[in-house]
Amino acid sequence: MLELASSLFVAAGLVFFVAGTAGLLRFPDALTRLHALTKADNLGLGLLFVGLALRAASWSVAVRLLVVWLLVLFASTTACHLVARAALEARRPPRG
Amino acid sequence: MSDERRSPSTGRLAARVACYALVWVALTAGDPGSWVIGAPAVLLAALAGVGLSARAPGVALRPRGLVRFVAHFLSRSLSGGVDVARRALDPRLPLSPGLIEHTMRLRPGGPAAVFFVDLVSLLPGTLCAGVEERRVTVHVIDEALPNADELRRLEERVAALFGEELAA
Repeated sequence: MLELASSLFVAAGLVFFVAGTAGLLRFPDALTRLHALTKADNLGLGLLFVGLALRAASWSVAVRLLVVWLLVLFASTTACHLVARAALEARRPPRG
Repeated sequence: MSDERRSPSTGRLAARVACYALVWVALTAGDPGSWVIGAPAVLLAALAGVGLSARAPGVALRPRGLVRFVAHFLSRSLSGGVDVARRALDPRLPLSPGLIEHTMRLRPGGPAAVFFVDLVSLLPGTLCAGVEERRVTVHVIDEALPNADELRRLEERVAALFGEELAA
């Protein structure tokens, strides 16, 4: 039962990683691509975390997985902010 | 050194030591041998944390706000991920991107404001592209989505989490 639930969560997580990658390739500019990366990865990794935590050998492993998820969220939102700011500045006409 | 020894920072140091020790236990599954590295690491991290945040105001999260915030964050993450995945896999590629300005009601530069700005990029359809005092430039993936409402609701949840009053 737990095995099945775990596999379903992992599979769902992978669907979001694929969708995020599709968005990265298909979306028209840097800013829309960032949407695909941040949202789909946030959710995909979260689902992966739940799926793997369900079959973790000990609570310590589950806590470590949670910490990984939170650190990735923090890194991805920070990187996203920096890339978005740069993309926006590049788009503006240079001021005379 | 002398002003580090006042009682409030001793309390803060003890709180940090306890908190980091708990993290260490989690990371090492409580292996007793690991404290050879863990004890100095915890102590140094706590000292560095107290030293670096000496001038910053303390942050106290509200338990009730935390529960409501986590529930909000998880449900909005789900809907944000589903929304962007649907757009990415749709053959017609339905996007209608644009920029909007959000006037922040949290105190600019405070911990709650920083947290809010970080979260904007993780929630449905919005992406933070710049901050200037109270003015936040937000890139939206679809101008037809209720983006302004989304931002306002998130800001209220963050304010409740940090116990901060929103400006009028």
